[in-house]
Amino acid sequence: MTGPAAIELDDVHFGYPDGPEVLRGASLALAAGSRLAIAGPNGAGKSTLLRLAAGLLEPRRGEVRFFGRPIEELPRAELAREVAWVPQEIESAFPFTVGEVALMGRYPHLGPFGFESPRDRAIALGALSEVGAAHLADRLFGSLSGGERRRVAIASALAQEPKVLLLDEPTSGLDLAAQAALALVLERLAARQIAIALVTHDLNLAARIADRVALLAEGRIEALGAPCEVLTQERLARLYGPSVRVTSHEADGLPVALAFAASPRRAPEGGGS
Amino acid sequence: MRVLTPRKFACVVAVSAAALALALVLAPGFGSVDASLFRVLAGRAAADERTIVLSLRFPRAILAALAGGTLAACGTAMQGILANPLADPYTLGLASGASLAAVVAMKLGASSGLLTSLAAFAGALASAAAVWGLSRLGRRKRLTPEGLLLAGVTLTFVASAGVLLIQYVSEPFEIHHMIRWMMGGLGTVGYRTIAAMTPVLMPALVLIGLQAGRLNQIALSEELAESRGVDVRRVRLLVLAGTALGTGAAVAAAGPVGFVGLIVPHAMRFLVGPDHRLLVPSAFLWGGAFLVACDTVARTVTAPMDIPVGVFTALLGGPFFLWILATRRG
Repeated sequence: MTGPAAIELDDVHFGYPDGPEVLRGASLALAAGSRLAIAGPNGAGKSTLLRLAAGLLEPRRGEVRFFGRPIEELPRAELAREVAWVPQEIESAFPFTVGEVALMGRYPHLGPFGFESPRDRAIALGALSEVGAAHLADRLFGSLSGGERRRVAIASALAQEPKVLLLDEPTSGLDLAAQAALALVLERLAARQIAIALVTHDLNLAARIADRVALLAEGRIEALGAPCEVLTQERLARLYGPSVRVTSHEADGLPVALAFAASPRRAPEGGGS
Repeated sequence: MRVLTPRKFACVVAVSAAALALALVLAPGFGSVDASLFRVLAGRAAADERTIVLSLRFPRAILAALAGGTLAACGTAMQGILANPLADPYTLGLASGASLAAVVAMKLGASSGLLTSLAAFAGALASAAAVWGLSRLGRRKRLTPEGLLLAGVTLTFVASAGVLLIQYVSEPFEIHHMIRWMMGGLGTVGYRTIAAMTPVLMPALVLIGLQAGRLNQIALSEELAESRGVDVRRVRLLVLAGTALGTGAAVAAAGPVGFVGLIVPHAMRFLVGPDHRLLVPSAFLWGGAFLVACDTVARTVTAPMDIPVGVFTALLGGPFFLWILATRRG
């Protein structure tokens, strides 16, 4: 890899005021055009790590850099034009349409009083098309299903035209078709040299949607590397408990992790139908 | 796709301004004595009619427009910064603080309406400062909407208890005076009041209007707004300051007129959509027109008796608000 990473975390420590450390020395680098999945047990600090990368939280110790520059040196507005963050859920009490939500992603490029130009509109509509949500443009955002809302949230982030896209659990609640569609979208974005990091609980999806996986546990990065190297039987059993089973999928050779392997089928007791 | 273009903005603002202008021009024509702004302007009116129109009804309509518009614009902005469509300019205790200060002034023998108004204005500002301080208790760096709301509700209760206490130890005629003030009314004002409140209102409204684009982001999602470069804390502080000044001035002049600041933002959101860049100016213009209309009805429906306009906005506003609650989408 040449040149500095798009986003780099260097020995980052973080804890909420008066609270214990949530992250205890996390270091990782996210290169342009790469896709990193951040996985790990509940409470491992995944979403916190993503917020730190987005500049939403300030580390207690360590540094977050954007193309080699410490992000606290970057003006907030400038950072917003380069780094887009997508929360797990957007719940607004106000009746914004899908089109308006997508257009709001243009805010960092507009300034507070500007009206969106035809170009801004084209970018927002393009972002909606990118995630297959252009037909929803006139619907009320609040009336969409969870999966549709998530796609629109991603479109709104894409309208920011970021170099770095940070997604907090973008696949939770998505059906298989929507997961596949999202995987394709991320692949296209990576091909456009956008650096992508996503938090997910779905290890199997992580292994296929990303080229690297960071496994977080108790505020530390346990392992970071290619899915085959990181998602091993021994490591996952240690993090998630002994019932976890890791095998290799015959189609793609990538690891498949199961929460538990079913015990050998027994005949139903007591008959019945 | 619904998009706010400069053209759409200009059209909506022009139509809204025309509605307000129409209300202002027509309002002086209603009342127990036949009079008309047109006759006065054409120079065909008698001295009595000139006095009624130019010294009484027209300044009253202007004040109604300013107070109603300001309350509606402030209500819109409060709903935005709290990301809560049930907020209004008084949610953070401004009206109760103003009332307490006004009642204290009356009890201490404030001889003129001016002193009461000044006290009310000071009370509103003090309430805003107190809410800001209370919501930051516990060394929390983040200023959450819940913190602000809780502080506002607490302050409202404390100030209301203070008002009751003072009324309990007051003479009946004093109590009547106090209650009459708290109903809100535009009866005893002239151009001097307008001249006094305008220099406070206008900067407050400009301050709020300048936050409109940021209010959209906060109304969608506070954390997302921050990730897009909005300094949410600063916007909250600026809007709260603008609301304190604007609402304080409106309440000082017209008393704590209710419901305008709650209903008009809702109605406008139905009509022009939730984009604050259009919503704030429309709410100002239609809020003004609404209060001019309410006041005209209030002073004519039982003429020559003048029902306090605050009673009327609530009587009209209550059922309207219930209707909105019953038909709300999503």
